[in-house]
Amino acid sequence: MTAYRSTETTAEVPAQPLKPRTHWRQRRDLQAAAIVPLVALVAAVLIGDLNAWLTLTLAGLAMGMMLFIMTSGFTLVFGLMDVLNFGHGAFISLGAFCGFSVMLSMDGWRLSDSLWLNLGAFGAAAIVAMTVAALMAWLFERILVRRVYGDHLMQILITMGGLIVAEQLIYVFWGGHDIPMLKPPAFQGGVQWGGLVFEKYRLLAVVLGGLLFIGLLLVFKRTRLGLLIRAGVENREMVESFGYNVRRLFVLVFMAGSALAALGGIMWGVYDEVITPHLGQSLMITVFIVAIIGGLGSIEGCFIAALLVGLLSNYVGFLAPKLALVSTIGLMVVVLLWRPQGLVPVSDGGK
Amino acid sequence: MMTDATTDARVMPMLTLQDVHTEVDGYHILEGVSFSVPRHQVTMLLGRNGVGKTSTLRTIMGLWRANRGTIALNGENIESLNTMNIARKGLHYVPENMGIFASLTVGENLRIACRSQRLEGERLDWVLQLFPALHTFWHWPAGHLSGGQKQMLAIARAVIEPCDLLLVDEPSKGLAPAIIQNLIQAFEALKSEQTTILMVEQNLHMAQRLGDHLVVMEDGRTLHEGRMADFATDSKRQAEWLGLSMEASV
Amino acid sequence: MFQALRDTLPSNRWIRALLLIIVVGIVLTPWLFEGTRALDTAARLSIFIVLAASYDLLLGYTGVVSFAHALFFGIGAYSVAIAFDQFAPGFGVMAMAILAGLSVSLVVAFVMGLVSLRVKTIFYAMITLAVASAATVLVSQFYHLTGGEDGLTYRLPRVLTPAFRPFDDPLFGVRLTGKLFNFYTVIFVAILLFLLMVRIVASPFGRVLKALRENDFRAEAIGYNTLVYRTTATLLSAAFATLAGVLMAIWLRYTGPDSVLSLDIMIDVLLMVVIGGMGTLYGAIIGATVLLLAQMYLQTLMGSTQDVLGGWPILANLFDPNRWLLWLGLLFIASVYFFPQGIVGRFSHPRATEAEAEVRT
Repeated sequence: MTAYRSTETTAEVPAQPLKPRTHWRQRRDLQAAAIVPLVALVAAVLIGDLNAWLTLTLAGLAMGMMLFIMTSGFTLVFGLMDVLNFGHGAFISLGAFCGFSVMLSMDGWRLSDSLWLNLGAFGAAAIVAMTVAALMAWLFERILVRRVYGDHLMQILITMGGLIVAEQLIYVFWGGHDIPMLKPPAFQGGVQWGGLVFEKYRLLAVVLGGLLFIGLLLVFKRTRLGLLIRAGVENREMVESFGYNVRRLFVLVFMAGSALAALGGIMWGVYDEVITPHLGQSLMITVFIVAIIGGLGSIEGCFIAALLVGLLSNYVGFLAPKLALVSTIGLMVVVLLWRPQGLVPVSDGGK
Repeated sequence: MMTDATTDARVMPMLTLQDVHTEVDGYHILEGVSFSVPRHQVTMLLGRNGVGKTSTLRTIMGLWRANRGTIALNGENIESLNTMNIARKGLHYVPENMGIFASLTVGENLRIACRSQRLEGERLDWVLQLFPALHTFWHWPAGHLSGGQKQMLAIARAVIEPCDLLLVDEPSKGLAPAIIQNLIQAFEALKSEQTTILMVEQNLHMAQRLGDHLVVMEDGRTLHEGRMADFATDSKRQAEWLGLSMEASV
Repeated sequence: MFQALRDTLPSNRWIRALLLIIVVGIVLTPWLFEGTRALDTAARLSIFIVLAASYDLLLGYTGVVSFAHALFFGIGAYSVAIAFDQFAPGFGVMAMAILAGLSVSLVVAFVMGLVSLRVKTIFYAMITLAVASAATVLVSQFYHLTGGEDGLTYRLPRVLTPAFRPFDDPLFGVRLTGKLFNFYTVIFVAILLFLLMVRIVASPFGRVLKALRENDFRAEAIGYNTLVYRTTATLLSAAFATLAGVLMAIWLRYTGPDSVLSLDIMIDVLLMVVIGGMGTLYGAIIGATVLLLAQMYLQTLMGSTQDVLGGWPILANLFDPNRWLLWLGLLFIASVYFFPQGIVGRFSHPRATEAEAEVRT
């Protein structure tokens, strides 16, 4: 070992690491997150009816969680590889159809009155759908996406083509008609609490979405994989320069993101009790809006934006039904005027 | 093999470039770069702005692909490998913009740089002794560091794992003279560790202090290769090749 | 004009012949093919050629991907439809409607053009998709005005309807009715619009656009103002799409979200331009023809294949006549891969023009 020579000439260096100082002004994510309760509060005043407000808020949170699950993969794929996947919606549809098929074939569990058997059927459907989506995503990446890195025009065109073909294939395998399916008995109805009624499935969606968000955050903040993904989003070249296989990392994220899209698809389908082959395409637009509002590539931003969009469309849907979809677009415009890179811009780390 | 009398030719050079051409987006960036990096020495890559110094480092690192020519590391050709595999051969890189992950903490930045082992032990202690500030700001997002601290983090990341060859692109860029003195000391410490370094540098004072070997580029080609000591005393050549003199840059 | 045609026509002889056949086929449809279906296909084809060409003006000549192009088509169609629905059908009303439609389109296009200059390609694609879907929702919600999901059915000036019969004797076996008059109005205007676009592309303005697409930075350095050129291109493209929408409204006597506004229309147009060839203008003719013929005849072909494969459930589904879009989707992907310049671009190499040459060197 070499002799120790201080390289810090003037500043006195404490022996212990300093606690990071973070000012409120630097925490863009916290600022953005504060908007969510603010919106809920304003809505409470406008609605004026506590019961209706609670129902709408729960519905909004449930929708937001499902949107978050669907959007997280899309936004990460973009952040990590700068790939815009218009075909993401296909995986939402694929998940919904696979999931419905599995659940419809498990009538014994699905129609049982036991919550656990119901959950079992739902879990099995989720596992199958996510596996199928992940495998299809692997193919999708290999055949289509791999060749068009770095060229956005080509990416948009080719993944759009992928979306068309995938959607048509869903028609081929499942027929063109809508598939209806009632919620499993244990998911139906509501829970009484005081004088208030909460719809069970919405609670389930919120719990599941919340768990997933926490799980994803843990993966991002606590594991090496998450560390690499966060670093890769900032500066891919540099991660490669440290000898990591970013390509493999990307394929992994692509597959995981598509699997999450599939999970979101089933949850949405079970909630609506019907699925159509157009499901993915129509949700895709909302997914884009959420991703843009949150800041492309940011997982925290995605979560905040999903909750905002979910809450806002429910509140507006109640207050002024005609403006429901327009409201989310309005939100997008306002956010982009405030922060052109989205609510939580991904730091580009001197890229 | 290298026959340049001015370098110690008894041992095989660490890295040898031979007639390397690189084209980016249809533009010729490098048009015949040939030089070698002697083992356990600091090689300085000098030249005016825009002559292809950074491009040379990027090409060595595989971030840009060489269209022609060979790049050999310890006698083994690496020009067709991708960046990941080049890095795994023991080339570590500090880019011009430092490539800090701004949203990751200082500790996380270092953890990423430790690919094959855990971030702990003597090596870490040594690096933290070299750059005490990194210990102080361990839990801070790297984006909040000052320019000099960022540069130290960038270098720390590159040396936290033992490497065969360290590529450094303009470490002194934009730093105050006092900080540059710190950097020079750090590099001297690395030098005494027998680390082989290829550095692009505009600061002639720093280049002269650290450099053993010298390569001068012009217009995408190598113009001169020789001993730093000879060049440092030759103010005519300095003015001719770099357009400035030693005195002006201290 | 002839100079413009000569400058822009694809150099490949076969492509030229094909273009000629398509145009002659459209113009002589009443004499060549029997039935109203053929007439309808020919009219739609000519309208879609204009729509696709106007999209090409944007996508092929500026490299901007917009998913809101059908919006302008819709504005054109709805302005005529609403006018005829609210007022007595007449040419004065039509003229006012066209003017109103054009103004709305131009304002929308201007705003979107400004946005497109501020954000990156990908953002723009996503934002326009959202805007387009919002428009669809608005149309279905303002049903008092737009007829909602059902759309509007309206009467046309009598000269343009089958009831109008100025002559008793058929001409070469075809009865001359208002319907035929309507048909030729559509065809004539469509040809006029297309030629106008050819003229624009062949003009110095068009060459600068192409130069900008090739190399933004460089063209700007030479002194072309990207902002002005891009915005103008966006406005022109929107105007032509609006006029195509007007033609559609006149021809169909019906305007609804599915026929002029839906994402499906947008995707069709995208397929036409990419399969035909981006940045060639003539690609629109070939692309639109391929798509419309596929829509009609690929289905028949697939139907018979499906009958042969009757015993294989999934395989047979692949050839279900309703799955024609699957095969076109594959063709689309293949064309993006293997000949990104499309059919026209693949088989001809138009001469580099002055502005381009100036930028390249």
